[in-house]
Amino acid sequence: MVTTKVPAAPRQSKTLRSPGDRLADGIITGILVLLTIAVVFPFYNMLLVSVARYEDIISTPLYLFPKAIDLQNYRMAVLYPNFVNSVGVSVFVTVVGTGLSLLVTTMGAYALSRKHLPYRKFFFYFVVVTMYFGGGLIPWYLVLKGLGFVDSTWVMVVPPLINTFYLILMRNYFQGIPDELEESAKIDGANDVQILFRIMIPIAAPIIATITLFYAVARWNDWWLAMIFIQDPHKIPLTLILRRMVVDATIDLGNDMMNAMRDAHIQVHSRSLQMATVTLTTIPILLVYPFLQKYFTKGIMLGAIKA
Amino acid sequence: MGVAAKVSKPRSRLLDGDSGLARTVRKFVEHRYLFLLLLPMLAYYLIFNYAPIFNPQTGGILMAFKKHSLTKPFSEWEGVGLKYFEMMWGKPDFWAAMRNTVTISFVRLVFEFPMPILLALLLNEVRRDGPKRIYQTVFTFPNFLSWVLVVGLMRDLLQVNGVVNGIIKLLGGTPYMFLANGSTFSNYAMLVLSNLFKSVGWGSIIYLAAIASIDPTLYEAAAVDGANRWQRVWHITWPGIKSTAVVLLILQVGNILNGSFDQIFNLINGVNRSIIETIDVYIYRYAFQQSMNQSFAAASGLFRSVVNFALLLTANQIASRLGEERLF
Repeated sequence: MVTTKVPAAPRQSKTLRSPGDRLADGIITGILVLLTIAVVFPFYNMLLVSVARYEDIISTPLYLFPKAIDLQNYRMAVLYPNFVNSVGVSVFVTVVGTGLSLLVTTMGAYALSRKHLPYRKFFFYFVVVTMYFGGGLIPWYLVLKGLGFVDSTWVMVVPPLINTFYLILMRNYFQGIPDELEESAKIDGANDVQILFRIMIPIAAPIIATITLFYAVARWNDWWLAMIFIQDPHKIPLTLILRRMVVDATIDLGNDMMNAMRDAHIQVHSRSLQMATVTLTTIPILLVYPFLQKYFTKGIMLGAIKA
Repeated sequence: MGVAAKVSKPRSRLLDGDSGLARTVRKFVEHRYLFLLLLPMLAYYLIFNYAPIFNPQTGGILMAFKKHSLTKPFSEWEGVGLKYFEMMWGKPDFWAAMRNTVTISFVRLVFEFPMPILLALLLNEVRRDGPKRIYQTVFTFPNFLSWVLVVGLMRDLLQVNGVVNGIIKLLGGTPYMFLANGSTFSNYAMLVLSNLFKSVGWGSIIYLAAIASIDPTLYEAAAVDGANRWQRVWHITWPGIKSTAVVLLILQVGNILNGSFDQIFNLINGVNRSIIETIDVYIYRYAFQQSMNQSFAAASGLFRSVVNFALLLTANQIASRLGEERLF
């Protein structure tokens, strides 16, 4: 292929577009629009079913458009046994877990990124090896059990504290910051802790924002740790309640709710209850998503390329 | 960096001629603030990653070679040598899980791996930034949902009275149990499609970034030479992302034993277990659900870890041999 430098020609100017080109554009747009519908439709269906009336779901074989918008299902979802509790647990785990994760990850990543850290290579491999080899599920479980994590809310905070991949992304980012900043701060008498918190963290804001959001989403979404370690129904996070409702299909309304519904002649379809809960669990992610999207491409690339 | 450190601590050490130990200690003292920062991270990895391997109380991975007892301390557990490995070797369901893991990984390589590349190429051909951003926003979002949520969405769509079966009934067919059937094809299709729904957009980002770093003058030159759109994609864009694709392909081959636990665990049931149970789910089942034979679960886990370690290391070596940028 000839790649001689020529005076810049616009890559695709309007005048150069042939009929074939326009046909290609049409096909591409067609495919992408179909894919968009395929991705959006499950969410549309989720909302649709979550606001549907019992009798409409029962009587309509193909329920595609809302016949009525009934928010009762949401009220029932909120009244579901331990729902409110579980939101509290999820919020606690997300806020405290993300905060602690971020603190420990940032500190470790910064220390690992410093060239004057003694035994730097050793510490780095100490971390990286864990991505390749682990003790396995049972030995890991026994360690955590020995530490008293069974039935403790902290099991959702402490064991997943560091994601090695994010740690390395952040280390790479810190490594890319010019040394002069640190050197001049050292001359002014600042120590490493002060340098990290006063100088480096503000500079690393993009990667820190990215990783904050990743950690937050991961904590909010976690159900596995709770499934293994938590028995106490008051300490179960929202995603696990949802899992029992949707995946195990065990819907246990509890006596209070059953009586209340019978007295008020309320009928709620299990599908509507499930979809209302799914919607409520999705909303927080939907709310942070614009911020996530703003940062992730930039953050991931910044971290990865400077390896 | 070393210079900066000496400026703040202007003691001459090099001429002291002290012992190695004293020098080590001094190094630590000199960099005490750095170690302060490092300490929580080291403690974390020691407790949650190294203790499970070397735990003196429960034997760590050595428990795979001992008979697990709830009443006695580890030191008194009876050594059984390779008994649990032999047991594993003789179990048909273990081999079924291994076979499923490898088959599903292979199916994913063929049907899932190319999709983010195709999507990136398609998105790159969208001329206007507005629609392009909308597509990307929509395609990437499901990646941030947990599998519990995604399976929740699927269950409602695919259940007997759901939309998909509603359409089937309307067309005169009989409802199909998409998520509870013994058909290999249908189960694999569900795994592939649901995973694409969740992560194809996210996967395309890395390729879009690779495309963005292609020298735009190449396209200009090609346009001047009269290359059509397809030729530009084939001769410029594709070569620009090929190396990324090769590295990711190799890394995915290295991950062949990582049996996408979250997805499968939320989709598995009595009907499809023999088709989609992967090794991760198998180990979980023996550890927590069935018979509670913890030593057996530890043995299967150790076997998986060792094989997986070898695969990952090989894949990473090959990827780096190709001279590509790696994370490490």
